[in-house]
Amino acid sequence: MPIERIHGCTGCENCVKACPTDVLRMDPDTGLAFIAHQEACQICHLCRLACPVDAITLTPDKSILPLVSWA
Amino acid sequence: MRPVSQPKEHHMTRNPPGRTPFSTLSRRDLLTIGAVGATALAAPAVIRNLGARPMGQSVKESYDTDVLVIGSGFAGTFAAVEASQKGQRVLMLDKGSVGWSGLSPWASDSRPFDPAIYDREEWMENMSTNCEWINDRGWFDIFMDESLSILDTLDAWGASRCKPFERSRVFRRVLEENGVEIVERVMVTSLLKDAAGRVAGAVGFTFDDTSQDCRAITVTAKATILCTGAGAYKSPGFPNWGQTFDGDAMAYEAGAAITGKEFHDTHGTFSNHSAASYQNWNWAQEVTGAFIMVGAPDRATGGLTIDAALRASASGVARGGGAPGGGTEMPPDMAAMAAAAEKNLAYKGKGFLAREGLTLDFGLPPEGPPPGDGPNKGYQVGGATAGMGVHKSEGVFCADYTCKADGVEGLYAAGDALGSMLCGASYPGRGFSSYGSAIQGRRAARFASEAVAATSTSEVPQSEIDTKIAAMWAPRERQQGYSPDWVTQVLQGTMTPFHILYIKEERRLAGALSSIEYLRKHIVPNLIASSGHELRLAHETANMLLNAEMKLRAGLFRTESRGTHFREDYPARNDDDWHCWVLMRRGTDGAMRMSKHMLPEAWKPDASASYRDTYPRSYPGEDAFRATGQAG
Ligand SMILES: Cc1cc2nc3c(=O)[nH]c(=O)nc-3n(C[C@H](O)[C@H](O)[C@H](O)COP(=O)(O)OP(=O)(O)OC[C@H]3O[C@@H](n4cnc5c(N)ncnc54)[C@H](O)[C@@H]3O)c2cc1C
Ligand code: SF4
Ligand code: SF4
Repeated sequence: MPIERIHGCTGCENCVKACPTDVLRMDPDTGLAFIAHQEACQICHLCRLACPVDAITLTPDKSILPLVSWA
Repeated sequence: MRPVSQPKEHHMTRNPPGRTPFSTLSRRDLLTIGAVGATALAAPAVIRNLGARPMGQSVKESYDTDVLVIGSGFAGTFAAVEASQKGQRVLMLDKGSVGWSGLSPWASDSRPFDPAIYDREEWMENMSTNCEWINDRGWFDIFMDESLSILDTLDAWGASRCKPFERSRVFRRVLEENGVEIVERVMVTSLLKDAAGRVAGAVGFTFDDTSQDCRAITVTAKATILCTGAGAYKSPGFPNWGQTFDGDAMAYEAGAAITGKEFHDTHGTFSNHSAASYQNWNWAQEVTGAFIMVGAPDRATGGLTIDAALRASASGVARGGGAPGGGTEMPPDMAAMAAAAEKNLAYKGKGFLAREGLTLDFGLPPEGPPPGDGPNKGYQVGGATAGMGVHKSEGVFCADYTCKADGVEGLYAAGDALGSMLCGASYPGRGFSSYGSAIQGRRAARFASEAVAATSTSEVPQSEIDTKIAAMWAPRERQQGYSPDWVTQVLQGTMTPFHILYIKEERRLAGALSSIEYLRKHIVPNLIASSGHELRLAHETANMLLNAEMKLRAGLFRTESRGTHFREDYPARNDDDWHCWVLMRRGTDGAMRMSKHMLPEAWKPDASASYRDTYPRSYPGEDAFRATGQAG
C-alpha cells in the first residue's frame, strides 16, 4: 500500500494542503486527517515531509487494479 | 470505484457525511448493478453513478481581478509577484497549494548563465546540438540574459539554499507580502470569454466536499496567465499525478495553438516498487541546498535522450539480476564525465560561482547511495513519465516571446504550460526547467500587465458563465456512464507501451489513434463522478485523452526522426522538410488541424558540417535509411 497509516495526528492540516492528488482530507468530527482516496497516492512523501509530528507512514508498494472491460 | 482496503483505524477512513459510500464498493459490485440502459450503440456498457446529484443549486463564489494566475509553481509565483509589482490586482488559483503541487517541489538543480565567465556561443551551439536544432534560440538568449537574476531573486527571498519542498513556505510568504490573493484546492476547468471574444477569466470548483459541498468558482479578469505546468498519464514513479495538461486543454478549447507533442520526457523508474516516486527522488528532497550546475550543457550526452527506450527494444531487456539496469542501462562514461568535471572546475570561484554557500555540482556523480535509498531497487524500467513531453517544449504556442497565446487575446502562458521550445526535441541535461519557468512567468506578467493597462473592460455574458459551469458539473449529474479510473486505465494501456509512445511506426500510431478517438468521442461525454474527488478526476481524464490524441497525431505528422521523436519508418533527421514545430489547433468543425511552423534559416545547422557532427546521436537503421531511402 502507498500511504498506509496516520497515527498521532494533531490536526494541523499541513498534509491535506501538501498532497497534490487529494488523497487526504480533514475529518470534521474528529478534527484529524484521514486517508480518503488512497488509490490516488503517488508515493511522493510530500505529506510526510509537511507533517510536524511525523504521523504519516508510507510504503513503496502499490497494487495495480485488475483491468475489466468496462467500469 | 476501486477496491479499497478496509481502514485499519477508524478515524483514518470515513465517507463524507450524507454521501453514498461509493468508494468502498468494488468494481464487481458496480458491474452487477451496472449495464443499465444503453445510451448509444457505440457505447453500450455503462455503470450507474450512485453518487449522482443535481449541482445547479451549488454555492457560487465570484471574484474579479486584473490578472488571474492559474498555477502556483515557479512560473505562477514569479508571474503573480511581477504583476502585483506592476500595480495589478492579482488572484492566484491552484488545484493544489502554493509550491506543494505540480513539478516545482522537486526541482533541485539550476544552471544560471553568467556572462562574466561563460562563452555564450559555446552554450548556444551545445544547446542547439543537444536539442537537435529546433530549440528556440531566441528563448535561450532570454534564458542566458535572465537566469542569473532568477538566482539573485531566489537568494533574496531565501529560496536558493533550502530543500526543494521548503520553497513552498517561501513562495507563500512572498506572494502574501506582494498582496496576491490566493485561492487553493480549486480545479479550474474552463476559460471564460467576454463579448468581444477575449479570454476574460476562468471557472473551476472546490473538490474537497468532506465538510462542505463543492462550490463553483468564477473569476473574471482582464488577463489570464496559465502557469498550469505540464502533465502525464498518472504514470508510476514520477511525482506528477496532479498534472494532466489542463492548461493545454483549456487553451485549445479557447482557440490557441498547441505545440511540441511529438517529443517525450524519458525518465524511468525501478522494477521493485515502480510506483514509488519518492524512492526515485529522495536524494532531491534529502540533500541540503539546491545544486548549481556549472559550465555549458554537453552537446551530445547528458539529458533525457531516447536511448534507453531504443536499447530496451533492441537488446531484449534482460530481466532481473545481471548488469545494472538489467541490460538496458549503459554504464556511465566515467572518462567523459571526469573530463567534463575537469573543465567545469576551471570556473570554480569565478563570477557568481565565487559566492559563499552555494552547492555546486561539477559534473561527477555523488559518492555513495543517496540517503534513504533502499538496498535493492531492482532494474531500471521505462516510462515513469509516460505522456509528458520535453520540459518547456510542449504546450501553448506563442509566436513572439510575449507569452501571449498566438491568436487569442487576453490569454498568456508560462513555464511548463508554455510550448516555448526552449529545449527543442530533447531535454539537454539538468537545470533549465525551473528557472525557465520563473523567467517566463515574470515575462508573461510584464506583457499581460501592459495589455491590462490598454484594455477597456468588457462584460463576460452570464450565458457564457452558465454554460461553462454546467459543463463542469455534468459528470457529477450524469446518472450512468464510465468511471474516470477505468478510462484512465484504458488510456494508460493504450499509450504507455514503448512500441506506441517511444518507438513509433505509422500503422501502430494509427491503431492507437483510432482507440483514443473512440474514447474521446463516446466515453468522454459519458464520464461520471460520484464525488468532488472523482469530478476532478473526470476532467483530468478528458484532458489526458486530448493530450493522447495530440501526441499520436503529432507523431504521425512528423515523418522524420529527431531527438526523442523516433519513427522506425523514417529513422533519420530531415532538415529540408522538418526544421519546424508542429502546431495543433481546433478547427471550426471541432477537428484537430495540424500545421508546420517553419524556423528561421539562420537556426539551421551549418550545411558544411558532417551529418554526424550535426547530429552526434544515432538511431537504429539510420545510416542504411540515409543511404537507400528505405527503412529496414
Ligand atoms: C522529480 C523532478 C525533478 C526535477 N528536477 C529538476 C531540476 O533539477 N532542475 C530544474 O530546473 N527542473 C527540474 N524539474 C522540472 C521543474 O520542476 C519544472 O519544470 C518546473 O518546476 C515547472 O514549474 P511550473 O511553475 O511551470 O509548473 P508546475 O510546478 O508544474 O506548477 C503547475 C501548477 O499548476 C497547478 N494546476 C495545474 N492544473 C490546474 C488546474 N486545472 N486548476 C488549477 N491549478 C492547476 C498545479 O497544481 C501546480 O501547482 C524536475 C521535476 C520533477 C518532477
Ligand atoms: S505520498 Fe504524496 S500522494 Fe501520497 S498521500 Fe502523501 S502527499 Fe499525497
Ligand atoms: S500534517 Fe501531520 S499533524 Fe498535521 S494534519 Fe497531517 S497528519 Fe495530522
